[in-house]
Amino acid sequence: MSPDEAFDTAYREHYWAVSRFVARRLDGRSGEVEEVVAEVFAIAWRRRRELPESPLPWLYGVARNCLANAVRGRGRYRRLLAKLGHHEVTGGRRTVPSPDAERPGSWVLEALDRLTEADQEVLKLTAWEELTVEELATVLGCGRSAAAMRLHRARQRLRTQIDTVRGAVPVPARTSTKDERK
Amino acid sequence: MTDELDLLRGADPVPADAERWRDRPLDFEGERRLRQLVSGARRRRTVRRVVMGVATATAGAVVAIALTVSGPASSPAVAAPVALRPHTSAADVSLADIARRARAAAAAEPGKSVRGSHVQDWSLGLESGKDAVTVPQETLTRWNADGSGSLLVVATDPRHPGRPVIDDGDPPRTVHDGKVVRRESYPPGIDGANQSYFEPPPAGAAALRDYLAVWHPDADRDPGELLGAVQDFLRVWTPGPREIANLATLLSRDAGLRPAGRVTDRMGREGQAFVRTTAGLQQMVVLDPDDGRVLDMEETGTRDDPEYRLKAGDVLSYTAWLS
Repeated sequence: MSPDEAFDTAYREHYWAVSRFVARRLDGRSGEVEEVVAEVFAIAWRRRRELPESPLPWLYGVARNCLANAVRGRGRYRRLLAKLGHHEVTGGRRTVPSPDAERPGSWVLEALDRLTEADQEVLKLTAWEELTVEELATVLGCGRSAAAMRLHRARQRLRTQIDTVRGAVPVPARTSTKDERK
Repeated sequence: MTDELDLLRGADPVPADAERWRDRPLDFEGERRLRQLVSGARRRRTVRRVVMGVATATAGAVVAIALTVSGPASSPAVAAPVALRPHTSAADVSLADIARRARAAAAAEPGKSVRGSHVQDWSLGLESGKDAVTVPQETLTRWNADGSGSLLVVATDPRHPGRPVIDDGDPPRTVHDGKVVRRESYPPGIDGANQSYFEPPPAGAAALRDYLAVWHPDADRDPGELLGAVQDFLRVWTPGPREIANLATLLSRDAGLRPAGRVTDRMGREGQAFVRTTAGLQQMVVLDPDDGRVLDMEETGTRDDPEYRLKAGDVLSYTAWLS
């Protein structure tokens, strides 16, 4: 298969998966999602000779950089960084507590929000993009064992925060979570 | 104890079956962008701006199920729908008058908006290197205040494209020879399937415009985005008289629409058509002249596109509201 054919196949197979990846990190704002996805595939086209046999994790890696560049390039990096992982609409959360107290949506996201951006990303890639550890390593640009360790630690920290949120005990400041890494 | 990753999966804000981003064949925008990349056109960025205009306008449309006709054993081929043809009439009613009628109707009987919609829609389905045709599909959604709900998607019969295939009873049932494409039930809560326009619409046209802009950020300043937002909103809610009046007021003030005449839509209903034309695209809104209800929205190209064998006037997408 030529690089052009491989790109065509990857584009068709993964266009919506990449769109979801970006939408999850941009609050689903359609205009911005479409712009970033277009940029991801524009870069992938230019680098199509580098496309691996399983291109999706590689595309996610490109998308991560595009997200950072796109946001930073528009001078809204900090504002949008604050939104990554959140789902807020005009002052109210899009994901709201369900009448069913056992539904995890809101408090899991609240627990996730208390982790560092790096921890959040490892967990999102695993839970939402359903990546294996090998694929996680590809996206993060690190070795398999390092990716496995980062995921293991992030899971532990998420579990701690879930227990905290669900237990309704005083919530430690975000800096205390970062301190755990030291 | 439930695994923390399982809990996180359950909180995915954009699950794989999210209406807008679900896996399916490329839509018009995706296909165009692929062609642009592969053709290596130097003027990519300029072209993209044009495509983005089309894409933004078509963003609310749900892509119809692509049925590739590949041989003699396949279903009969389906032609693309013919564009609606409005004509001037002595009975024409201005958009401002329709908005006034809608407000009067709302004052007499405010009513309530209902979560859920019943629509038939179609949009161009393009697959590179293939002759792909699409048939209109009908979608019935019902939502409860706690976020639980159901979705039924039925492709219309290719032999009778556009003929309604869902009887909106309790429970809803398919009629004629529609093919059930999806049938989903959703638990309570907010997720990717129902998060847009989850809260009930507010009172007043200005507040409604701000509400629409939450999910279409420029709907409060860009007429094309406003039309897209109205289309998306009406896929979630069946508005009551008061919201119909507010929508008609917004359309009359902010949507940049001009009168196009009377039209009989694909469901055989007579309506009053209004259009907005931008580079390469014409958007049409058909309203019930008596109460201001949105009956149809349609998008057509305004210039030829040899690459996709499109001619000026060809339909790119349409949505007809059936309830």
